[in-house]
Amino acid sequence: MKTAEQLAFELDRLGAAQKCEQLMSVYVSLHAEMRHIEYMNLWTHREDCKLEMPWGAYEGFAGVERCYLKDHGDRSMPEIQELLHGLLCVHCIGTSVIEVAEDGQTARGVWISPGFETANEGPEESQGMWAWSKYGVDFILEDGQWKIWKMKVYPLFQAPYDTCWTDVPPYDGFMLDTTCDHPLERPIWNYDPNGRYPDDQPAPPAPYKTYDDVGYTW
Amino acid sequence: MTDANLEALTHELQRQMAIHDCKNLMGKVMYYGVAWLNQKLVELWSQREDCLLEMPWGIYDGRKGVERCYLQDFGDRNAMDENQLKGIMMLYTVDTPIVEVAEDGQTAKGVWVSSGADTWREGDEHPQGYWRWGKYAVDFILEDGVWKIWHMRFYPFFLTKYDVSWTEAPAYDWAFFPVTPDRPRETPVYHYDGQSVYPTGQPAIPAPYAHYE
Repeated sequence: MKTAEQLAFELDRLGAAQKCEQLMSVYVSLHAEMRHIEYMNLWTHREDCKLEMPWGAYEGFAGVERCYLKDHGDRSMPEIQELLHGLLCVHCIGTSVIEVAEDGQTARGVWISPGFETANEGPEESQGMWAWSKYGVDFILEDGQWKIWKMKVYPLFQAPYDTCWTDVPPYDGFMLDTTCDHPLERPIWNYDPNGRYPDDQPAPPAPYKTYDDVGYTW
Repeated sequence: MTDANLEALTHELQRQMAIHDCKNLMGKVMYYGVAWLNQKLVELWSQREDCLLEMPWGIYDGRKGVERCYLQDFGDRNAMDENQLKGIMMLYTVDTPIVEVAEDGQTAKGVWVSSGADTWREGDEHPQGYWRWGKYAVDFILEDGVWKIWHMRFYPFFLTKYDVSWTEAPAYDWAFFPVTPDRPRETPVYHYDGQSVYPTGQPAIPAPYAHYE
């Protein structure tokens, strides 16, 4: 029979999965509102943070900060006020698989994210885009709070609302003039009519004991 | 705390953990399915002979039926020529879950709504994208301490080309490839025709229950 302490520990692990799921919901909700300054509270400030976007990788918390506050911007910043008019990017999360380490200190999760994006590119240019993607995320417990630690965003397809994803040109990322630290170490598959869907982007996490047992796998 | 209290708490915690495990199982079905890792998908299922898998095109009975559906009708990527899967992406999500674990902690029942972007290629033709929506109703069973899929029924809403309204699409009771179900569906495929009343109880929303029987 388990002791009260063991039960409390298992309850915390179960709660951790829910908290990580909720962190991701907050993440996509803030993104739709371009409230990226608040992202700084969702992420750990560790130097070994990692954020892999379709256009490149950002290293450390400094890299995370640069990605969201410099490359994306926040709705409070004067320099992006023009961009905000007509901008609507909504990414849902669902289809989660979440594993909390047996030691209760880290967690790993994957999500599929259906979404749409709209940007004002001139009176004749604005149009809605379907934008589906996936996430692979590592979380860490820091001072009793779950934080995002490492994240990889996997694009799936981006297509104008009236165009099939099989008919769009090859994907080359969509951010210009970014400050990422380096190209992605492993190329990310985006829908390609001539390619085979990969077997591990991302692989759903399996149960694990400690983070060191698995490391960064996204 | 008394032993009886500890035992009761342990049981309740395990029931709560079962909800998480069953949701993870359904997530894995989607990730393995789109990657065409159907051998791994089959391993998520119970070994029992009374497994049941209801697809839009018919029912597969027993563990053997489940294996035939995923490993023969779909096939596993590792047993297929790479060109066979070129441009194919059967991407499905699961969301809107309702999961009930039996009071005895031995089985669970869940339903999900599933949207998806199906992509299929006929021979050497250019691939075609489809929107595919439906619902899953799944029974789970605890087998040697691990939660497994026992019965799974898919209730189609529609499968329609990306630029065709679902009001114009034919009934979704077919597959892109040859299939070998054991028998026809027990539940008729609902098809939007502008007149029919959307059916109730397909699937039934699971209610709290004591035992599977």
